[in-house]
Amino acid sequence: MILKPLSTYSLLLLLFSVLTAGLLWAGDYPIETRVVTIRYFLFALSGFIAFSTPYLIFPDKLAAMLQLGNVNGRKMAQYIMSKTIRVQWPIPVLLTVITFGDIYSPVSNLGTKTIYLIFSLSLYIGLVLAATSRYVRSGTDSQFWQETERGREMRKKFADYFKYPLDPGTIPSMINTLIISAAGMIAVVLGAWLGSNAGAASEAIVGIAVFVTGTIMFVRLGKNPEKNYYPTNAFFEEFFGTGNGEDSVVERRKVEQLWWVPDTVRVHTWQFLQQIDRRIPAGRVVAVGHALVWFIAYQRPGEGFMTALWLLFAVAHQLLILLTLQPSMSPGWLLRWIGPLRIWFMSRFWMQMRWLVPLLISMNIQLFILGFPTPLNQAWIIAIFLLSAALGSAVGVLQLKKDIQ
Amino acid sequence: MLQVKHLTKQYRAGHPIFQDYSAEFKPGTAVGVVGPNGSGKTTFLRILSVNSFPTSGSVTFNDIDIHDNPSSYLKEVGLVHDEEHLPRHLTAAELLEWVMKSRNIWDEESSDTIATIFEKLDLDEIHEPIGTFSTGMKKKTQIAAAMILNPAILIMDEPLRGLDQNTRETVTSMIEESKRKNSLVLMSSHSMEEIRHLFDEMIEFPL
Repeated sequence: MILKPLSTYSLLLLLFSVLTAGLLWAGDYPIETRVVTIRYFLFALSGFIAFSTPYLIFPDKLAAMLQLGNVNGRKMAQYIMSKTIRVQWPIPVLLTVITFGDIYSPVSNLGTKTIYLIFSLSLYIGLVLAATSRYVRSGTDSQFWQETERGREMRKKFADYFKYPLDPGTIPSMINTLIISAAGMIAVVLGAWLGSNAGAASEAIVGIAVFVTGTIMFVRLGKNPEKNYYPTNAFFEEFFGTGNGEDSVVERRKVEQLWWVPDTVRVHTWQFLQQIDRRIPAGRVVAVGHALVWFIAYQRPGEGFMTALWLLFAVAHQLLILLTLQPSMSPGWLLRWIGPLRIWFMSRFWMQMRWLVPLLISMNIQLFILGFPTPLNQAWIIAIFLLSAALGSAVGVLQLKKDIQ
Repeated sequence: MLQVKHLTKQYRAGHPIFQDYSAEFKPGTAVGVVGPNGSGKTTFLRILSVNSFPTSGSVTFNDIDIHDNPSSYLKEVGLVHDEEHLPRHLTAAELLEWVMKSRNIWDEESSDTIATIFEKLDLDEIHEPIGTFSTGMKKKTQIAAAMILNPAILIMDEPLRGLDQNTRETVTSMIEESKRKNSLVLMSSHSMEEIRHLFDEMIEFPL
C-alpha cells in the first residue's frame, strides 16, 4: 500500500543471508537436535515478539497519510500487519530453513519435519497476531496511566519503594510484554512436554491453538482498528517525544560522568546516550537479552550453540546504533555542522562500549558456573562485538556522506 | 572574507539553477538573499553551509576552499537550516550545551548564557525535549544554537518563518548585534520589507 517495498536486490540479498545463516546453524543437525533448536529459537522469539512488536508499528510516521486517505476497517488491519511483516518475514523463512535445511539427509523424516514446521509457523504467527492485537489496543489505557492523577501517584510510589522512576504510561506495554512472552514460552514448554510424551503431532496442536487464539484476537481488532490505532499512535508519539521525565537517570547524567570515553568524543557520545535512553529503556532491553541467554544456557544446549548465541547477542547490541541513524535523532545538517565525519564514527563506537563490561562479566560468570563460553570463544565474541560496533558506526558515516547533494 | 568564484549548480545536466556566479562577502556586513520559491536561494545557502557541493566553481573562506576543508570552516559558522529538524530526544538546553562543548567554548557561566539567550527569544521550555516543540519553538532553538557561538559567519535560511512578531523583532536586533561584532550575515527571508534596513547588500534570485 503506502509502505515502501524493499528493492529486488535487497530482497534477494536478505533471502540469501537468511538461507545461509539457517544452513550454517542447523544444516548438519540430526532430527532430534533440529527439533530442540526449533524449540529454543521459538522460546527466544517469544520474548523478541513481545518486546519488539510495538516499536515496529508505533509511532507511525505515515499516520497523517492514513488520515488523509481515511484508511479504515480491513485495509487498516492489513496495513498494521504489513508493518510487522515487512520487518519480520525473514523469521518464518529461517524457521523453514532450520526445519528442512538438512544437508546430509534432506528427504529423511519428512513427516516429522512437516509437523514441526506447522508447529513453529503457527506458534510464531499466532504470537505476532496476538501481540499486534494487544499493543494496538493499549493506547487508551497507556494514556490514562500517563496523564492522570492515579498514574502520578503510582509513579511516586514506585520511585519511593523501588528507587526507580517508572513511567506509568508504560505499564500496559509492560503487562503486554509479560503476557505475550509468557504465553509463547509456556506454549513451547507445554509443546515440548506433549511432544516427548504423546508424539510430535500433539506438539503441533499447541502451535495451532496459539495460531487460532491470535487469529481470533486479530479478527476482533480488525472490525474497527482505527478506533484503537490512532489513540495508541498518539500515545507513542507523545511518549517518545516527551521522554522519561525530569527525575530519570537521563536527566541526571552529565557529560563528565562518561570518564571511559576519550575527551575528543565525550560530548558527542553523551548526546547519543541521552537520546537513546529517552527513546527506549536500553539498559532494560540489554538486561532482558542477558536473562534470555542465561535461560537458554541453563538448558545446556552445547558449547557450540552457546557460542553462536553469544555471538548473535553481541551483534544484536548494535541495533542501538541503527536507532541513532534516524533523522529524528541525528539530522544530517546538524552533525555535519557540529563536527567532521570521523567524530561520528568514534562517538557511535564508544557509545556501545558501555555494554562491554556487562557482556564480559555475564560470560565469565557463565564460564564459572556452566563451563562455557571458554576464554578463547569469549575473545572471539568480544572481537565480533567490537567489529560489529565499528561496522554499525561506519554505516552512520556513509549515510552522512550520502546525504550531501 | 567569503569568496564565491564562478559558482554553478545543477541537479541534472543542462538545467543550471545558477551559473558562473562570483561575489565577495566581507565581515561585518549583512547580505539578504531574496527571490521567489524554487529560484535557488536555499541551494545557494546550502552550498555556503557545505550541505551541498557545487557542480563547478568554488567557495573560499580566508583563501581556504570550504568544500575541501569543511570542518575548519564550519567551526566559524552559525547555521539556521531551512528545515526545523533537530534531535527530538534532546532538550533545548542540552542541544546548546552539546554545541558549545563541541566548540570548546564551555565555561562555568555557559549555563547562564544559555538561559539568557533563550530568555531573549522568549522560550521557557528549555528543559523539555525538542520533540514536543512547535515549529516556531524549534526555529528559536536553532537560532539560539547558531547565535550563541558568536560565529564569524551566520547563515540563516528563513530564520523568521513561524515566529511571532515580538520574536521577529528580537531576532532582527540579535542579527544587528552580530553584525556589530563583525560577523558576516547571509540570510534569506520571504518577508524582506520589514527588515530590508538590516542588509548592506541584496542578492536577487534567480541569478
